Amino acid sequence: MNLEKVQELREELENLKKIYKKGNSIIIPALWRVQEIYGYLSDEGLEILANELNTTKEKLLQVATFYHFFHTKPTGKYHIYICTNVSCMLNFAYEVVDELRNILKVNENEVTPDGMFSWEEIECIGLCDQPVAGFINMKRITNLNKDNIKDIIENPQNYAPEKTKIELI
Amino acid sequence: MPKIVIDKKEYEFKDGETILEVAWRNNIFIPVFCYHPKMPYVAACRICNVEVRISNSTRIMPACATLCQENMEIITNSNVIKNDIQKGVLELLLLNHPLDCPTCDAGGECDLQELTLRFGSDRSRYEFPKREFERKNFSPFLDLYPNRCIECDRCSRFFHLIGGGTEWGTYNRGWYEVFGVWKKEIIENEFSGNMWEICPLGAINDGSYKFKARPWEIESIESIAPDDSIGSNIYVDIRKKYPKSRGPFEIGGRRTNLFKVYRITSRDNPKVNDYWLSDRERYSYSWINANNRIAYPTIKENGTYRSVNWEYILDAIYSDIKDVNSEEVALITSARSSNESAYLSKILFKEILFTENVGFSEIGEDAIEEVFGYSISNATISDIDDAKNIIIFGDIKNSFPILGIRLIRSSRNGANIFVYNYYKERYILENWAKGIIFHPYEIEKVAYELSLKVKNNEFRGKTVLILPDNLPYRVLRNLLIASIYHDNAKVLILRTKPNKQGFIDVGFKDKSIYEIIEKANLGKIKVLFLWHTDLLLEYPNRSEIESALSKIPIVIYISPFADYSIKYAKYILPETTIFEEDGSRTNTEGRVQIHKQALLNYEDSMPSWWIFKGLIKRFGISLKIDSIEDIRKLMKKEIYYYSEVDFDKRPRYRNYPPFIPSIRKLIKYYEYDLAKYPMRYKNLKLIEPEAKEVKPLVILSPHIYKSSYYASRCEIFYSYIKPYIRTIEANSKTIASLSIDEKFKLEDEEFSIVVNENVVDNVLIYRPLFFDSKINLYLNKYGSREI
Ligand code: SF4
Ligand code: FES
Ligand code: FES
Repeated sequence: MNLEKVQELREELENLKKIYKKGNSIIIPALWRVQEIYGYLSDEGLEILANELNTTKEKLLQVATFYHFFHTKPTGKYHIYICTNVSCMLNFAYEVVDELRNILKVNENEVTPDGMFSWEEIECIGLCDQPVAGFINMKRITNLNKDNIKDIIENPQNYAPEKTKIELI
Repeated sequence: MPKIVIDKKEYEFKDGETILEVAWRNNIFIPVFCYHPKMPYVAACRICNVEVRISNSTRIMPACATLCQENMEIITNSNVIKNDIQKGVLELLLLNHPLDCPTCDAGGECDLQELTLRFGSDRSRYEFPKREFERKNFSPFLDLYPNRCIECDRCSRFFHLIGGGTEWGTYNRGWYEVFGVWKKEIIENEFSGNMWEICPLGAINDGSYKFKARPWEIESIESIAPDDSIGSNIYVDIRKKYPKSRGPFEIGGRRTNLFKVYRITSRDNPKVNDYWLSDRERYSYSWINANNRIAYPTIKENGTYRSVNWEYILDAIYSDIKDVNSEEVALITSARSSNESAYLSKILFKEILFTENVGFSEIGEDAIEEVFGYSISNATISDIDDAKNIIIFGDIKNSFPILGIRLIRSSRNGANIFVYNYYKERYILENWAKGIIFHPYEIEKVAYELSLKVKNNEFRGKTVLILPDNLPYRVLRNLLIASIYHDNAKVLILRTKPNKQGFIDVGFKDKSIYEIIEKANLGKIKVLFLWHTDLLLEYPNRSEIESALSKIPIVIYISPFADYSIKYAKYILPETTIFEEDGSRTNTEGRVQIHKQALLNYEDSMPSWWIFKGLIKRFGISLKIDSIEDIRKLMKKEIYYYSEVDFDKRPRYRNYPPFIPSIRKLIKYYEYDLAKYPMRYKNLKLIEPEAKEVKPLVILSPHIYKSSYYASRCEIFYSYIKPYIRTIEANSKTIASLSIDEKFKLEDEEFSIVVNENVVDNVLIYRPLFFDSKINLYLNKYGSREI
């Protein structure tokens, strides 16, 4: 058990409980917090959440697996999404994907041995005007091609914070 | 009444009714997949879509989830619905379906097959690879094929809303949506078997029925689950007596498939099991062909056994017992036979042999009769549904699992449930109920305090007390007395022997079996009838029982199974079991339920009423009984309580579409009569509790699959119970104070210790396997022992 993380999660949950008072509305923001703190929905985090929210781990997972942006497996420090929907695909999204696979030498949803990167294809994220689009740690990256993706891998810190923080309304 | 128009005809509806309900009631059979009459709707499949015209705009809406409104006009058979919607939905549902009907156990009773044939198109335009899931098995009871699933969500809905479980769920989304269990080996919910029955196709199949038969070769016979006294209604599925398809298979000149139960399915009785079954009721049937069933009447002479015919053995028994004094005859039974058998045995023992020595259980004293005037509950099982407060003593999950469905339902409806026990069981741990945990020696005190509360009407609203009948005499008495002070407090007595109520109704009075054992030990019993029971398996304090049995010269052992006490028997009479005989049983609330013969008698075994009839005849009394109907007629005449009971109750029918197999099962439902009981409440005083010092205690406790006489013989439960691992559960405080660490020794037996923080201090729990509880030797008659 990672006490620091547990402590942090508990504090975050306390704050959330003040905002989301009714029913199940707290589940999604709370799941986001777990993912921010642990990098993915870890068993430990989910168990704490389940206890605090008086439900069960399985129920939380049923919600979480419905959404693309929640991870039930560990991710790298930088997690990259590449859109492969129509507009992006027509602008050679799969070349970008292949390039990523080549550089990182891991398949979709696997983590590089140094724990730095993982990547995943997603569906349209509404940035069709700047294809190929994607995210790195939830910061958007646009107009991707075979070349600038290399730069992103080399200097990820220029493009994204190390930790995602989703602003919740 | 408001009206809607369906297919140009007007129909009335009640507020809150859906289009589907109104349509079905009026014989307009809209097809469904995800809708199930016993569960809330979700509108997941859309096969039920209809055109709804309201204030000049037409929309396509799911009939199962749209409430009726005035001025609604509904069209169920337009071209759009038939060609676009129904065909389209079916084509979509079948996109990923593997179409493996020839190897699927649901083939023949599959909603998808039937509805595709009726409403679907004969070809698919899809030409890409199909989605595939890895096949995993989470349970010995279920056989899972996720590729076939159509995501109707019936299983998850059942599991969460009705079974109260959480681990089963629907994970992921869209194309990848799959049901199942997340990172777990085995499903622990005791209602999981219902999922295969409500799954509209073969995505979830019955694990025990795998590749055994086809639905059209099977005949369903009405029966009653024999494991507990709730008497859930079941169908016993057997091979059709005269199959037109394959068979019959003959092995050794005997058609084996006539002696086999293929599976058990649920039968709807809204007042009792409400269509659902627990796994213990559903999967406990392989005992029917257990290898220790007795085949022939047998006599033991000079230490050797000899099979004889029925006439000979009955003559021999008669000549042995005819001159014995009435005080020297005893009957011990566990009340597992039908009312009809009970009635004839009552004639034999009460009117011919005049014996008082009849025992069913450990306790004997009947507080219920003392307080209520007659030994019967004054609440019914369905009273649980609208109760505000439910007070339970003991463990429901492990002893009367099917009641759990109602408890979960009323807990969801806002009832307060309180469970009194010495460890926290499922309903406390999962927050369905509030737990009051105490040491067994404090039970009198705790019950007394509760009685005062009930008496002073501190629980507002309708209160139901659920009490097993083997509670200590003073505890039961106090609680019963308290309950009669208020009209809104009722008591549901749970009989711990399956048909004990029936045995009481025909005129037996329970006496503690230990009283009879004591007498036998003094040499005062010459003839003992052991009927459908095995003392050495069922009761603690084995050494005393063994010495008593060895002192009785004539033990007559009537039972389907050759268990331990058979070695003391002089006469061994094979009895048929519930699935092999017609009869009726009275359940714990006094409902007389009928079961029919499904299988042929096992070898030479006979129903026990036939055996008693033979003995009665030898005493020179002819009863003019040829069949079970004659006994019923006699019972109706002689037993006041049953005078208005209809033993020939017909099922009732609902208007559901006959062409959807999973719904077709619900068309018929049964409602059996309650017997009529006189209640004469007596105003007695509460007895003050006796203080008893709390001491460390080893205590026997039930386990759902171990403690039933029948279920413990079935191998299918072994993946849950690991029969030969002996463990004792206790909390860490007790373990520390007794300074035992890994092993616990009692006399010469060793048990490994399992830490279970849910057990109260100073209690060590042992869950005996019905058949091998050697620990019984060291326990006193109430199943506990101080250390
Ligand atoms: S497994 Fe059966 S009941 Fe469950 S969602 Fe699939 S089709 Fe429906
Ligand atoms: S298609 Fe890639 S962002 Fe819309
Ligand atoms: S949507 Fe109505 S039955 Fe499925």
